[in-house]
Amino acid sequence: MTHTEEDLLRVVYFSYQTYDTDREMMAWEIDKILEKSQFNNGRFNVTGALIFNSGVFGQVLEGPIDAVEETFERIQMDERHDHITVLDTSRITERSFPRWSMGFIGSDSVCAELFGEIGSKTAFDISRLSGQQIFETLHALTLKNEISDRAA
Amino acid sequence: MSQHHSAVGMTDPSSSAAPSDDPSVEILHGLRDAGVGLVALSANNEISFVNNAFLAAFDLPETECAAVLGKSFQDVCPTCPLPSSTLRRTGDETGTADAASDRTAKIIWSSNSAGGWIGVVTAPPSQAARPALLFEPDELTGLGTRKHLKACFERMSEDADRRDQRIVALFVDLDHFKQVNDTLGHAVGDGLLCKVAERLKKTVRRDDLVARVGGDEFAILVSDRALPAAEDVAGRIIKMISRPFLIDGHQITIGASVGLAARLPNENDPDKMLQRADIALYESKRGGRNQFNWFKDEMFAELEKRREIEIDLRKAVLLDQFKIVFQPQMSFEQQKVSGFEALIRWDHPVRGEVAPLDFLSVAEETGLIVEIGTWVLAEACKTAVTWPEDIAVAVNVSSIQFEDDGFLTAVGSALEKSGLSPHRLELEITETTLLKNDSVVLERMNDLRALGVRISLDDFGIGYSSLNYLRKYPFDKVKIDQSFVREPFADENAHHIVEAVAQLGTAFGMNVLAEGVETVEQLARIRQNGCAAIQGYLIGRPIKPAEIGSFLEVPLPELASLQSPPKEGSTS
Ligand SMILES: Cc1cc2nc3c(=O)[nH]c(=O)nc-3n(C[C@H](O)[C@H](O)[C@H](O)COP(=O)(O)O)c2cc1C
Repeated sequence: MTHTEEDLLRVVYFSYQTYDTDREMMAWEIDKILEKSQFNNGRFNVTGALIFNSGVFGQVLEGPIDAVEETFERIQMDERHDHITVLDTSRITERSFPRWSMGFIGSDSVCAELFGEIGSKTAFDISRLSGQQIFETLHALTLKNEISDRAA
Repeated sequence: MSQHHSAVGMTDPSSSAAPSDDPSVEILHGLRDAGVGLVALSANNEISFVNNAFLAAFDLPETECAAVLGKSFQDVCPTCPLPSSTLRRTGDETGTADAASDRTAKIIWSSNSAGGWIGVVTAPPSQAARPALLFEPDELTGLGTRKHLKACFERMSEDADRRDQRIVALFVDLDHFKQVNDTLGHAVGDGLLCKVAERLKKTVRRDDLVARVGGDEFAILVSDRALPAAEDVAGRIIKMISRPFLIDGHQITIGASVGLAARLPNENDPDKMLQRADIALYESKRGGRNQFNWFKDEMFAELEKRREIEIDLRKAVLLDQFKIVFQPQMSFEQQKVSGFEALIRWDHPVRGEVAPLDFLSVAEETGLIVEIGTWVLAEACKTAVTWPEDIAVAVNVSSIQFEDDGFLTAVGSALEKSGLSPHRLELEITETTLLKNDSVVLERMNDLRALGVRISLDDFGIGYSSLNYLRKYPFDKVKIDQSFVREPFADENAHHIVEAVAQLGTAFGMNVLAEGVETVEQLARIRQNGCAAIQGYLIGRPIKPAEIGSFLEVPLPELASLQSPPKEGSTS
């Protein structure tokens, strides 16, 4: 199926980390994922953001339909996560993360965004958020520049 | 140690490739990992060095290099003639040992001053000896076809026999593929098949073969020393196919069922093996999908049994072998029998009474359920019209029958021919029906309600049991599954669920009935939980139509305990 550049797709999903590793190992693993993502996504014109907390990943991917679907398909084959649940897919006309081939968001800032500063110490569960919540929170944080391209 | 040994440099070649300052160690590692097969023999033809590529060329890919050091070359590679037997040794002579057949690798030998030999593999066997297989890919997915699989099977069989390996066929069928095609169209269905093909290719190991052998059917050949390797592949396939797909902006989730069958000794026709894998696949589907099963001989027998049931089933309607029995239901408010559920019985002249569980699944698989269901519907209406006006009849409708184009007509004609007023007919459908396309199911329900008949949700509580169903579909009644009523499954949690469903159902204007009530205690509890009606042995077992008249004349014995509803907490 061929689509024009104007056909943009946005996908929001969450998934669980497969193996139990300590914090440092995971930061290292996430760095590798980010590095690869930024390289690949840059080439395919895909943008978005990734968040990781307490063993759960949340990700927003946006871009031309075919490119997003190809990227998504590659991510599906990744053994580093499992129980992948798509929360939302929608056609969009404008990107929300135009500057980020794959931004990473530290979970602390999300806690602050969602629950106010008081909540920032307590762990929260990404898998309990709706697609819209994940998307809006990550988007709000990019506007505040609470986003980075490194995990550690 | 002979001089020859030291010439090659004797650090243990199996030691790990840790960085080292000693250049000879690095050279050794280089030789060990070289893509070309190398071997060094001592003067008495013992192996003093060998690398992986050499062993692979002689079909010993899983043998450890270190394990054959010091062993006699002839023992390790019996198919390869010794250099000393084919070459005269005159100083620094080089020569080619002709391979015993074109199935074995060719080696160039070179003698060394210590009286030993260095051998270099020049032509690995398979590529040299055998032409590439003709490959005509499947047009849609680019995978091999059944024809290609057959050709590969022959070749794999030859290799497997030589290497003492097993070949296993995996038959993979996609669950819910038809629904994707029906609801999202063929273009999306085709896109899905392509992505499935890609996932399969990435999931299997390098030497496994994937082919598309039917619309949504794939076959994979796996060859390995041990059978669990194939189970591993099957498990991974199920996991990977159940992950979500994105196609044309749609999120799609399907599943895969897999059947496995191992090649029998000397079996040279893959069709038989694929057939066995297909039978095992059928078992996986019956077992609830998203699983794999090995073929077992009993499966043939089971299949045969079901085939016989199918043949008999086809005759049963014509020969009038089905009967209907009726199980009473009681409403708390009216404190009397409010209706009967029609249950089919099959009395076969030779088989005797066949359990509904045994024949209904065959009827569903073969589609015979439509004919049988239509008969039950007509017969139940005919019987019910002889009962008092305020007693209803409930008839089970399978999802296949519900979806059938002729269903509305069948209901209409059952009512018309019997003269039963429509509001006395209740159609019981299960969640399986609701899992299909929403809008189609809703439309059908509305059409049926327009005829005046009522619709119940049967067996609620097992399966998905989304409370959303109660909101989304216009049910007149919900029947809570007996597992929530009867011990040992009905624990404290079950009671809370019954209560919640009763409240919610009632709030949505539905009549909530609990099934499987057998004791007075259960009855009291169910009533307290807020259910409006019950069914179960306490009220009555299924009875023949002729017994209904007298059954209705005798008051229900338990009604005595209902005259004064039990107080909170009391169990009598
Ligand atoms: C949670 C998670 C998110 C990922 N996000 C991306 C991504 O946005 N883009 C990408 O190319 N790879 C992403 N990956 C990595 C891919 O799964 C895969 O490893 C990578 O795309 C392979 O790229 P390659 O084929 O170029 O080696 C992600 C992996 C995980 C576990």
